[in-house]
Amino acid sequence: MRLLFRALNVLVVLGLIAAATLVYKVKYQSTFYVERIAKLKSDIRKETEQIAVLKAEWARLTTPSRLQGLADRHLKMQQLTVDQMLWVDNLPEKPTPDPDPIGTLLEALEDGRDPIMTGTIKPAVKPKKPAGPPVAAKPAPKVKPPVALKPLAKPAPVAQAKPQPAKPSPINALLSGVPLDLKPPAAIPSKPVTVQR
Amino acid sequence: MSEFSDAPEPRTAGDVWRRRLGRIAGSALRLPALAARGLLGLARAPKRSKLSMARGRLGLAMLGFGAVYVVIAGKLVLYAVLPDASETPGRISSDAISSSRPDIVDRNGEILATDIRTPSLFAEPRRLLDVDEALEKLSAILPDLDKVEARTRLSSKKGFVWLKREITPSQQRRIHLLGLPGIGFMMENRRVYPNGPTVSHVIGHVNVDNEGIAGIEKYLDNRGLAALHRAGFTTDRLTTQVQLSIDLRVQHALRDELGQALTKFRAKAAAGLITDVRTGEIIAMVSLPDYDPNDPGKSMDDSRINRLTTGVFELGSTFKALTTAMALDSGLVKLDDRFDARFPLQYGSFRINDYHGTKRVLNVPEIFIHSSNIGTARMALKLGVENHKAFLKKMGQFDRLVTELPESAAPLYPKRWVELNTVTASYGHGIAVAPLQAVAAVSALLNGGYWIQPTFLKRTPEDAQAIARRVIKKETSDALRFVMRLNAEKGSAKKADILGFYVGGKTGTSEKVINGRYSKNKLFNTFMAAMPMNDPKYMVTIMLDEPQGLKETYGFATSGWNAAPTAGKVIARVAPLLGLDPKIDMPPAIQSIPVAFRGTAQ
Repeated sequence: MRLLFRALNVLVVLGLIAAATLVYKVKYQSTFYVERIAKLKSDIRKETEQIAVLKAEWARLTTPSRLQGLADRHLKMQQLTVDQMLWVDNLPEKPTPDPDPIGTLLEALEDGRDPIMTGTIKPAVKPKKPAGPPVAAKPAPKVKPPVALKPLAKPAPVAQAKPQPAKPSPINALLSGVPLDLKPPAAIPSKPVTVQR
Repeated sequence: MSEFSDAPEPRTAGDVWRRRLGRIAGSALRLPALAARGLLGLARAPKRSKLSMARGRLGLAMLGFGAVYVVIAGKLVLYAVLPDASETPGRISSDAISSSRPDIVDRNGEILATDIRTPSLFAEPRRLLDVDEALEKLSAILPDLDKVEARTRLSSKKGFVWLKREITPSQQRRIHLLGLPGIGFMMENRRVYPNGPTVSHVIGHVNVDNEGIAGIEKYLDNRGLAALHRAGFTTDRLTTQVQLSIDLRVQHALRDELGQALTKFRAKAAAGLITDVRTGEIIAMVSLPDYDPNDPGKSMDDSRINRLTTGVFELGSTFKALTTAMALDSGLVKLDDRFDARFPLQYGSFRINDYHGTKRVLNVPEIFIHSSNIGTARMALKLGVENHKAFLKKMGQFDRLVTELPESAAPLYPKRWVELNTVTASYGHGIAVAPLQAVAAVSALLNGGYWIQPTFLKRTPEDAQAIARRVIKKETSDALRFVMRLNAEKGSAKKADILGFYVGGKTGTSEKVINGRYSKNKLFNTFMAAMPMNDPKYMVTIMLDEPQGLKETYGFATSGWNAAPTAGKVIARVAPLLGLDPKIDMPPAIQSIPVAFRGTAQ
């Protein structure tokens, strides 16, 4: 019985100490958090003020009168007019993709042209300007083909390169077919296009 | 010391403890009884034994101590439950002397007015050690400090004086480094207007204590912000925003074009208004000359008033739109009806003549596009004085127009209204109204017949529909659209007819009253245009005060030569901003607007 009481006493004392420690810890933790909250709140307030200042500065820098002054001084832009506006309906049709590309390829082969010409392969002969005399078999001596290609440069493709500038490429056809009186695009088809087939 | 002798010790100690505990427990149980006995014992001390008296006193003491501990425990609980006072720093409340205001933004969210916290310098003269030294050091950092004024303030025996409001952060840092005792800073809210004078007349400005004293700023104070300030609720930054109906880009474009017109036509003043006829929203409002709200000193100048709301003017021929609408709406006049405009109207000593004399009989659209005073007066006379007065009243031309802006002017008109007044008012003379008032009325003629209270705050079409008041029939509105479009095709509004936006409009040129007489060469020009006339959305109003004739206008100074082209330039510039889709291939008015008109207008 005595032993039990003693054990109980010890337990109670230990429990008291533990509880006191816990309360002490909680108390200081809460103080810590309170301070942290206060600090964060003041930080937030400072940040908000800073944001407000930056926003005001941004508004001042992008005010239309200032932008207009800068644009007038540094850019050669003019006011938009109605005839510069276009509608989706007025845009040219999207080019329809070739439904049978292989057939076209074969057809081209039958014509004796090399239909597969990518940008990396340089044409053996650059076509002359359309204004110039029609180039027949002669251009070979004028234009020196690349040395490495010399044994491969057969006369056939050289001769075939002649009449092509007259026939516009699909892109050129599209551009010349644009039903708008836009000056720059209209000039493109007449330019000597380096046709690559 | 052997273990043997030690062994019984704890038992004895335990014994003692047990006995003590038991006694304490016992006495605790007997406490109330003891206390009662103690109290009684005090009362009848002589009859009691000494032992029982001692017990009673002991009990009383225990009760007292117990009560103290209960109080301490209760207080601890309270501390734990209630929020910590250290969490809300006491500094903040004393910080903001001039309290914060909500940001004002335009309809797209661009900032028009905002608060910035700036330090202000104050002194506590009683704590100041050496006035001369302090003043010398301070004036080195603040060159524009008024030394005499500052000296008298610092030498006073007050507890607190302002030295300078709103100093820069770098100045604050340098003054802080001086380490002067009795000099301190307070963070204050300062109102800034990043767009300068662009929106000045709409938003107004504040005084040094951040109280609104003009424009929307004052409106905010009247709406309860001032009361909040006094109660001290608005010390921290407000998160709400006030959104206006103004579009900053449109506002700037209008102001820029008006500024050009002002110099080009050497006018005294210019004003412009762009409104949404469907909702009554004011998209842009400019009155030149204006002022910079960041430096509101100049706002008191008389020439800088807002002519659109605080000024009243005889608007001249633009009023003919109202007269025409009235005549058509009554049903007594049809578009095809013809009125004799061959001879001037004679009223006593008054003689009404036409500026663009046609000397023939005109139908209603012709009266409108030739701006015939005689024809319009005859239309008004056909309806009579009472109908005319009732119509003008219905269109809000006799009452002060109240908007959010606190500044407004009441219209001027003769109290005794006779037939002659109807004649002159039919073409916009003898009655002076605020231009915004006339714009609200003309909007109603174009939007299908609804009078909608103009507003500077953003409004949805549903809200507008809820407050709309029908004033004329839809057919009358169609007819007005027709004649106004016709005026742009054939009449005086040709120079405002920008391709693609289907503009319609009415010019107005009135002679200013100088020394009680109409002056021939001092004109006040107005032009009201709307677009697109097949379904009007926006209205553009331009006013020029005393424009001069130029060589390129062949010396003419009437509205069609200056206000109309200015409106045209404004429309070309703002219509794309307003999201209007240009349509190039619109048919003429007679085909696009269905009206009962058989004749032709020449």
